[in-house]
Amino acid sequence: MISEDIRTFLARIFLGKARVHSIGADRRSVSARGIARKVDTRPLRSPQRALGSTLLGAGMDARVKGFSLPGGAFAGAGELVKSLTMVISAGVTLRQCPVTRYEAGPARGVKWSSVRSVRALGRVSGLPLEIRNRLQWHPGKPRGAEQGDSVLALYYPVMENGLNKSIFNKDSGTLLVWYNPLKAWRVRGLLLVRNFSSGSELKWRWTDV
Amino acid sequence: MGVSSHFGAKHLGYVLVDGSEGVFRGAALVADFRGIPADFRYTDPIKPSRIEKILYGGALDVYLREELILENIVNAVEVQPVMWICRDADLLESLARIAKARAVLLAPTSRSPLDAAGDLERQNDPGSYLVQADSVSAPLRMSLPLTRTKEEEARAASAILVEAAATMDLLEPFSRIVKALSALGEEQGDQ
Repeated sequence: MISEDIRTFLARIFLGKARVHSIGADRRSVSARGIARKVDTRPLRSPQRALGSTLLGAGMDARVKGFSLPGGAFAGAGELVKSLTMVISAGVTLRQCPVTRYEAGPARGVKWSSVRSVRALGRVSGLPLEIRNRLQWHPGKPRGAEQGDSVLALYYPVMENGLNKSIFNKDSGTLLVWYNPLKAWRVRGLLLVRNFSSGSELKWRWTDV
Repeated sequence: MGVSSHFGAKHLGYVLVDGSEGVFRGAALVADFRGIPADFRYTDPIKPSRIEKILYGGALDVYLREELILENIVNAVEVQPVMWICRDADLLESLARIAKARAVLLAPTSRSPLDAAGDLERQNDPGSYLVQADSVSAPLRMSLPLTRTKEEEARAASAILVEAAATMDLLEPFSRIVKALSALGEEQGDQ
């Protein structure tokens, strides 16, 4: 503890040397700054981003939805990436894609609209039935072969009474037949034979298998 | 062979889905036991884009064949067969799930005929049998769906095939479906 005399002495020496500043309302306010930094994340993807598409079934169109990046802090992001800027400025057009159906979501959840199923019985009604040669599997000589016959083919099963028309396809060795559904009920085999006793003629003979 | 009074009463359903050259289409033919058609359905062709192929990969093929096309044509058929027949192993399980009737896969073989029509011979693959459908042909390989591999199922399916084989060639309808689809493809290609 210092005495009063010394305090008075020192006060006289330093009197007026210690400046005291005052802060008025017109002066700058004290600002407190933290050292933490905020990280700005800027996506490098295209501002036009396809979120998903919906397949439209028979039309097979793709509906592509998109949006632009928001402005504000990210307004210049697109310009920073040259390739994106070029794509955008070139005027990208989203073409229709022949997608039958597609919805956003997991692959298993993708659901296409039903495909059109066309009834066309007339398309096949006019087509002939193709009967194969079964001779190689027939045990022994087929019944119905006559004296002098050499059996070349056995066509089975053939509707004997409902046979409207038949054509022998020489290329494939098959028999093309057209039936009358109302009359076709009796099943038989049809032999193709070469008869040597009558000048090697080709003949057709019905047989039971 | 004798007279049968039930021609037209029972039907077999044949289903085919083709995905060659990147275009998928399917057809179903329902024919009576003489092979005379009673119903025929086909789908419009579906051609997935490159984008779709990339997006969906291998799942696209399966989805188009087994769910989209197969399900639609089988459900569209109005004349219900007593049995559905396919020749593509990939379709069998889906067909069995979708169809209201029995489903089997039939394929030709070059094996010697079994002793008699109706004979069955179990194969190593589960649910696979050789079936002697008639007395003048090679046995057919019949595969049952994995959910129905019991021998009773095989016998029941075989009985239907034997009955039908007495009056028709069991595999012949497939060639008619192919011809019909080919003709339709040419027509649509011309347009």
